[in-house]
Amino acid sequence: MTPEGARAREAALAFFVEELGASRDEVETGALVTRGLLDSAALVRLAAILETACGVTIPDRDLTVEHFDSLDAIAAYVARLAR
Amino acid sequence: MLLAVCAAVLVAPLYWILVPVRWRRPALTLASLAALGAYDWRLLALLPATTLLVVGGVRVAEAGPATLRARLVVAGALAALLVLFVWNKAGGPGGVSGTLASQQGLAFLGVSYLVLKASAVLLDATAGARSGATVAGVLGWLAFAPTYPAGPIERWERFAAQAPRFDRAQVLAGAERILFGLVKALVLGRHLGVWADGVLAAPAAHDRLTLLAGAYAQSLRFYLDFAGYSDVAIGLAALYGIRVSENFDGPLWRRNYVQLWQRWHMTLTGWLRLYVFFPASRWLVRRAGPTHATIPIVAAQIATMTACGLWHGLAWNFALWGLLQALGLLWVGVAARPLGRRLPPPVVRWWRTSLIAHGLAVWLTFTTFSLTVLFVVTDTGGAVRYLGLLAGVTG
Repeated sequence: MTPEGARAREAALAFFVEELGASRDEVETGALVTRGLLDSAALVRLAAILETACGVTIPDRDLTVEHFDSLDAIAAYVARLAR
Repeated sequence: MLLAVCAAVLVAPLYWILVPVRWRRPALTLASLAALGAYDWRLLALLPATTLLVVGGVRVAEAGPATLRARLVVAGALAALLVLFVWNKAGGPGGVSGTLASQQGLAFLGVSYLVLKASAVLLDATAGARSGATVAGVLGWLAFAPTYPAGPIERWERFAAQAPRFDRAQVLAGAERILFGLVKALVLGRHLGVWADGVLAAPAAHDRLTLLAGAYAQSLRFYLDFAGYSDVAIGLAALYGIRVSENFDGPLWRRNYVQLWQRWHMTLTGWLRLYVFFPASRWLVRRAGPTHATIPIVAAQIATMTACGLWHGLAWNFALWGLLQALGLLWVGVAARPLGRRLPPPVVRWWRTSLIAHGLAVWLTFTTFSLTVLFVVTDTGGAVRYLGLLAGVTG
């Protein structure tokens, strides 16, 4: 995993646990959007945190289930964006 | 409507037998224009005019998305679409309607949907997306008769990428879906509506339990009617070899407002999320910083859902309905989570895992939604009076 990917994973995990009150297990299980843990409002906050933490710009069109449904997907997406 | 659906079903075998593969898309465009033109001849001018506006705007934007010329052209095209939308909503017989209008009550059939589809392509072009829009392609997409009157709001790139090929399973599933949709809309929805409208017309004549049942019936009718028409549209499209996005996924039996709205009129909420909520909220959050995101998100949510209400009808009751939906979404997305963290962990665990809690949450969500639906089936005064009688406040 790239440094940006690892940083994104760490920042996203902290957001889910500290801001949304989810357990680590719940977050690691995935299906974050499809299970309703990550709604549109939370997605906007997470995108802002990732942009600040990883120095990337996330386009609105990329705020999708495909990129945000699991920690691995988030890490891979941010790593791709940072390249 | 039933006649048009029957005609489309009967013509489908001829389409598959007689029309060669490369002529199927043009044939669908011509048949759609013929069907819509038979309903209202003015659509034969409106649809090509909108197509030229969209393709012209897209061409200019794609030539240089960031230029002032492109921005002015696209802004002009969007303004023209907005004027068309407002005029259409206000220009039906009797002027601005205070309740959810049937398409027949509007000046032009399907314009609310047409405007959203056309704007999406223009906005995408300014964001740098390459659409490959052609006059014939865009006309076929905008005029596609199954989805034209009431959605689903199919995206251009998804529609343009499809080439209709015969698939027996898809065609049979389409026919089944049409039947299912007709039963939902014309049998269940209509009959439920007849009863619920009787309660709505004279709320003072009914006891509180009947008033509550009447509100439930209104929201179920709202769902059956709308989801039924979506089923018919999806089924008709499948019958002609086109896959159309799903629009409803059991929204009324969800445990909170966010889950409900993630599954209610999904192609509209997807449009609103992408073109209103995300740009507005992210623009504000970037200025306030991620640690001060709450107020920007609240403001953007209220703006988005009020716009959603006004899209349904340009009247105060629709704006109020939209605002109430925003409050429901904000309760789940912004207020309930911090509240949950203050509750004892066993209570939170029970709320998340217990079947009884699930049932209670679904009932609360359905009840809240049903009470707000009163604001779209009658005017503000009527809805407030109904709610007052239901609460026992007014007699």
